[in-house]
Amino acid sequence: MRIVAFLGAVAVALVASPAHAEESPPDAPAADVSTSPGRGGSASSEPSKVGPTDASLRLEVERQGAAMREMSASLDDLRRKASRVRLSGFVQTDWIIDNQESQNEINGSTGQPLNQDRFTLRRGHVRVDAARGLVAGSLEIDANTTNGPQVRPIDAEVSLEWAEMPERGLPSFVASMGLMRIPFGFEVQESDTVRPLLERATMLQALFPGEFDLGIQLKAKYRFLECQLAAMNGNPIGAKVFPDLDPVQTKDVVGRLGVEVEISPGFHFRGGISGDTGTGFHAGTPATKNVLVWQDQNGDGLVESNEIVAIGGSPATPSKTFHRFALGADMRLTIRIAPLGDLSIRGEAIDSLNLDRGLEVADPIGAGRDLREVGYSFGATQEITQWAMVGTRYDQYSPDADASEQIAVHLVPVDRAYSTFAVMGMLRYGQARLLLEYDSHRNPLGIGTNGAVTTLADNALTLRGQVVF
Amino acid sequence: MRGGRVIAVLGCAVAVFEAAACSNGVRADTGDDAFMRIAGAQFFRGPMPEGSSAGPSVAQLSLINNNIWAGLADDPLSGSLSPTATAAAIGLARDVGYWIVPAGVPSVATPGDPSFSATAEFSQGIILGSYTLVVRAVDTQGTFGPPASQILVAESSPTDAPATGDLVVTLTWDTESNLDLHVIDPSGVEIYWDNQSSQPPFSFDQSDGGSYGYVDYDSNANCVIDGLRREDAIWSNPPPSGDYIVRVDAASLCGENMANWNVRVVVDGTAIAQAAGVALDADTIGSHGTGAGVTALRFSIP
Repeated sequence: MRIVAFLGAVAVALVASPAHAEESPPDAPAADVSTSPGRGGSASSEPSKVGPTDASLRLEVERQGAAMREMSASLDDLRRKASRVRLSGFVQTDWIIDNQESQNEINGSTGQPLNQDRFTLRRGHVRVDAARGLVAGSLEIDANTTNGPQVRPIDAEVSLEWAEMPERGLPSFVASMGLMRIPFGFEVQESDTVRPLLERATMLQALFPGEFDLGIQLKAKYRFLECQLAAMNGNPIGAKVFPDLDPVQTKDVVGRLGVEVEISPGFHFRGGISGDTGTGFHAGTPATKNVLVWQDQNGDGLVESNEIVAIGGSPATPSKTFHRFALGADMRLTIRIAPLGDLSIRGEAIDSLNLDRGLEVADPIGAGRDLREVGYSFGATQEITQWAMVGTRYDQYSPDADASEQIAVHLVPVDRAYSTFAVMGMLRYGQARLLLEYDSHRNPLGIGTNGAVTTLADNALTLRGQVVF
Repeated sequence: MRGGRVIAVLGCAVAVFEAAACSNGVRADTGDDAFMRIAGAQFFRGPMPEGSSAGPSVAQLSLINNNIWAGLADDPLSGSLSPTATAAAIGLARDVGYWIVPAGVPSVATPGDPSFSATAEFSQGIILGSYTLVVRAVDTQGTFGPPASQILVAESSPTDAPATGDLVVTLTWDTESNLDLHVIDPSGVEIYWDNQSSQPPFSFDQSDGGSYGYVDYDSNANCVIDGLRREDAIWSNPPPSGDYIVRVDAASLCGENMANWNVRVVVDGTAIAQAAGVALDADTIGSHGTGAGVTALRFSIP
């Protein structure tokens, strides 16, 4: 009932608003009012006749203005007090039509099948958002079959939110705590449902695996400026080692400073710089006991007394920590091209040290030197009316830019870079997408007949269906 | 009809992409079906390329022992290559493929020559007999040199002494599963764990001159793991003439994913037949008594 009454009041206010807008301000010259056609019922210029009408009109305006302010305050109060709960989600299912890496075998160390040509649920998310006044919370659950059936929390945060108030010069402000997107760069924070290509660039999968981490974040936005700063565990949800845990007491500090401007109608720019500094962890080893080992020195398959070798135990080694950091830059330029749609050009680059947590986990203690990672990506997408889109992206990532290898008698630098050239075409219908993408990969995982590092073929053609609800 | 067109279009797209990417690196292949496998090396399916006299050569090839057996692991081989070599290609002649091992730093013994070393393992399904180990040096251009070869002799495992008898049928497998050997002799009698001898139970004439077979052991029975993973059907005297059928029954995998098995028939010390296969969880379904299992092989005694 209160809502109906409130809506009625709002309707009255909206009807009244144009009238108020057409009214002269309270301190407007009387002549302006008197010359308004249809007001006062007379075009006479006699002040004596205009005076009383002007006064009553002024009173009426003041009365309506007060009522408007009261209703506006009431509306703000109701908004603050009202609970808003929203249920949403999306599903992404993939048909990996052809992947060159596929074999009808299993991985001997993990027991997982090596075949990749399959149907898979890549992401199935259900999200609940709730807000009451300044407090908001969200919980998002991910179900997928990437490595067998899996259900896990992907986003769970509690926030305090203040809206931007430009008339007072105050920025919007959000303070969040929980499991949230890592505020680094552009693509890490880009929604899975919006991203035009199947997956993020290799460097982001390596440096920020899973894109989500636990921590606390402050986010501010004022006009075209946006700023994010977070303290996080430093072990994202997709990390190969200690995912969603934190083996060190110090927290990683991550942040991004960006701008978002509409340079001219149909010409939109967004860019920023990001940083990440933190502490990595090298696990120590437990103590070992003395062991006897059989070494079949004559290869006869029989145990002989002279083939038993004693290997002494060793004491435990302590765990160690190391410094890691990253610096990144990102940009996206969107140009409206009539009648096709938006042309979007995007690029991102990162230079980091000892930060790889998802591909070739960086351990400078074990390697005996710092591991410098360098990566970049750039690409473009073009909407073709509201029904389709085409796009491409090239990305390259080197987990160890200073790597070298022994080739016979020579120690030579080696390119251990991973790169992907992706081409995609997409059909769109409302909240649904059908996306076909071909990824041409290069990697350092194979050995050529000459013994040199070469690409282990794993190009893939994938069809994805997506629905957002 | 539309579905067929879609599939045809996708098939064409795959073909085009594959053709465009045919030179994109080496194919992933575990080489698990090869008789010889080398840990950490790159497998190339198909015969090893013929070498050229202009290519680099193998200066030295060292083996600890030329005798191998089914399931042999950690068998080291090493050597040195001529100075221009950057890799060694290693394989058994007539195997399904070969392995590439990058060359390493020179050894103290041959300071000017790149070295190579590898650890080989041999399949459970390897058949007794002689094999030729071929090693070729490869240079940075991918040119293969002339072969260096050694003869390897596949024999029974020294830790698993062969059963003796005029006719021995042996089943071995590679995981701690419960597999059973069934042998049907020419008279139709099936010997296995529940009927361990082909001798009639109430034969009053124990010296009738007949020849009877028996199963020597029921390994991993009821998943009580004994680690033997072997069963033999033995005829101590000349076996009856006629046709024999050998079956392998997977009673239980005892929690293992699978079991690779091997059946070998030896008559008077000479192997006359051999077969290999894989037992999966589906094979454990059903009865495990008379007539159970899959037929591994048939043979005849004249």
